[in-house]
Amino acid sequence: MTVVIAITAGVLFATGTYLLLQKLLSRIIVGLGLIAHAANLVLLGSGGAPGRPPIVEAGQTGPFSDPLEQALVLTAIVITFGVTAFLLALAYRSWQEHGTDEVEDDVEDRRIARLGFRRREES
Amino acid sequence: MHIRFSPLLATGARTMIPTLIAFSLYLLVVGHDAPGGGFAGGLVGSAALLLVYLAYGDRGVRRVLPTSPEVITGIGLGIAFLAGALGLLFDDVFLSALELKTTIPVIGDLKVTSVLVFDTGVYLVVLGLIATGILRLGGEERS
Amino acid sequence: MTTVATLALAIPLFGAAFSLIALRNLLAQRIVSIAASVGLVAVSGYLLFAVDADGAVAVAVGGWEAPFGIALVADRLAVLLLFTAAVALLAVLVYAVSQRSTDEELRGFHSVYQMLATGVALSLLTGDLFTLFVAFEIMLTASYVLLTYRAGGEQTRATISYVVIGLVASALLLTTIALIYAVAGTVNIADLTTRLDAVPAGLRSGLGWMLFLVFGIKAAIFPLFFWLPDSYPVAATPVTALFAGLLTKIGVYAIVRTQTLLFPSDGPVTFMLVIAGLTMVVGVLGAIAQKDIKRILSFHIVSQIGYMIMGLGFFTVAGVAAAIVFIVHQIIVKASLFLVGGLVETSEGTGAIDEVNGVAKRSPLIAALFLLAAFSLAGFPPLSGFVGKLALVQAGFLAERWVVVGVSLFASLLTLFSMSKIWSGVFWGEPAEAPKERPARGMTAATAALVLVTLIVALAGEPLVAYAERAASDLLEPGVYRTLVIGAAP
Repeated sequence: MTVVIAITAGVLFATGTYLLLQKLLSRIIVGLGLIAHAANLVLLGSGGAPGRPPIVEAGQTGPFSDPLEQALVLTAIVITFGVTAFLLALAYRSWQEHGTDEVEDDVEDRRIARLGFRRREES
Repeated sequence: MHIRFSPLLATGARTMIPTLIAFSLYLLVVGHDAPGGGFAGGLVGSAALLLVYLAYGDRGVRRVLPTSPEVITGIGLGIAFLAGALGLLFDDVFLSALELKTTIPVIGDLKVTSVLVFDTGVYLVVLGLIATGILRLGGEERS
Repeated sequence: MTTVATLALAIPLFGAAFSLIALRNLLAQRIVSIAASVGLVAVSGYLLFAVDADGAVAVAVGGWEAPFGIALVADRLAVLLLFTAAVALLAVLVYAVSQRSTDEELRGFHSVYQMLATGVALSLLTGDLFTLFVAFEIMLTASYVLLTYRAGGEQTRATISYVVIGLVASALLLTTIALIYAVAGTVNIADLTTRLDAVPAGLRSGLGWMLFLVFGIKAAIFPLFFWLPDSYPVAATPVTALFAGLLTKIGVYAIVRTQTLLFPSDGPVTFMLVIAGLTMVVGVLGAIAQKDIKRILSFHIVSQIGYMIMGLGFFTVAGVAAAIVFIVHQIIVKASLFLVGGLVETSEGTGAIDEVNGVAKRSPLIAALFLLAAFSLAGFPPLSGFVGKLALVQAGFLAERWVVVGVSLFASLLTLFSMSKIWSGVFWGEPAEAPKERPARGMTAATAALVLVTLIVALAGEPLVAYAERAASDLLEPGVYRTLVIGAAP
């Protein structure tokens, strides 16, 4: 795996993770997309140096790159595509229902936070 | 809500759409041993569908589709399944590729594989899914 | 027999395709879907016996030989779980079809259901890691759709967290597979068994723990379980029952498959046992704090996962076999408990244990079904939970891991306590008001059939444990799996 691909994947993972922790669903979706791209990039990089053809003509010799991981990454990209479409539909419905795509707090989390707050006030 | 569609786009689409469909079918047919295939072909075909949507709205998309998009997806999945079953039937292996080579006078050699059948299924699945997306997310009126 | 093994995959795919074509006709969808489920039970039942008698089979899909093509491997572990899953799928489907206010009228329910079955069958049968990833995606995407069908209002948040967690886990799984491919040059599990030997030990165990982590998210082990009790109770009863019975167990299956074949250990793995103990105790403590039947049961899913990881952590034939028996027991019992919970919700209008009273007096059949399933979960003799737990405890004694065995017995006591809380809250007392609606006959029948299966599992305890031991020794014996898929080592 070349250093460039490794660094790019790392940056994508970091950016994606940051976006995942946001409250807006649209940002979460972008974050998930970036993380999926990072994973695909790692997969693509696992086959060796880039820039060589995966398919060579019969009789032709010379360096070629591993076609298997390119096939794998294609499958993974298609899966990412489908899942992203699904998430966008989910975000659209959330927006239709609430008028916002902000992800709400967990009810129980809020209750526990309130308990802690009250305890602090008492002491 | 009334949306006025651009006449420029509509006229352009009229020439673009047949070209896109022809190219998508070309990709589908050569897919078994050249770059292309059902997925790529299906995406180009869906680009034509998107153009219909942009130029004529979701009513236009509904009019060009013979049946509901979910059913198209189902038919595609069914065809892909049958292609696999063909392999099971004739070769004892699910999804194995069968070949049929003939020479037709004047036209030349013709090679038909069960991969083409499978790819046709994939083509329809992709088309159906994207049409579902267009109609569900881009529809003017809510069902 | 290779044809039959392929059929196990082809039949649910057929169901998915043709119930989607018949989208406008609910009756045709039901026929196709039920026929496909019955077919899957028949095929996997045949495989269950054929594989045990004639040995496992490996299928090269499309005629491309392993390790280059995609291999399907039907060995004892895979077909045992496939058969159990098929039974659960059929019972839950019958329950869903007989509901009055049906979820299945939602567009495409049957198609998505069969797609989920395809994903389950593929993840059990596949012989390479990448196809395992694809199978998980098929299964999980279908589960996202099923979960979000009814989501609205407050439930949106729970479903979104389920989907997001699932997708992050999938991306991590893909990354791990990519790294494994980068160091070993193959994704075929049989080929990896020997190729990973050449990898430096540190790198190797790092990859092993990464796989454990990502499958652990899917299996909901401590501390990666928080998404489960939040999202499962949101869905409709049949969907929750299916998720509870199948999805996490497939995650455990993947852990068992990869940890034994790819990252074998010579003795008990203390870290895994610690995780197992924490999962058991934290899960059951969460259950005790809850006040709704489905939420209580959801926490129990987490708790019971711990037992399976414990069996695996012993890393002996007896331990892995006990874990396998426990998975079989859990698939059936968890699905039937959730179906019983659904029956209570249908007849009383809610599953909150403070608001419901006296179900035992009004509908003794539901109460009896709950009692059987709950006792089985807690591990009372002579029910199926007892068979599983006895095997686990014996394996623990053999491996001389006293602490974790003690923890597991303690967790069992707490399980019993939490079940008795449901019992005294919901089933005892005087029924307060008139029932909302009587559950349809098919719903009760499907639940009763599944509870009956738990009794059968208990009665067939001895042959089941023997079968699981043969399956476990296949996993722990290096070379058996490899020879099956790609022939003898050079």
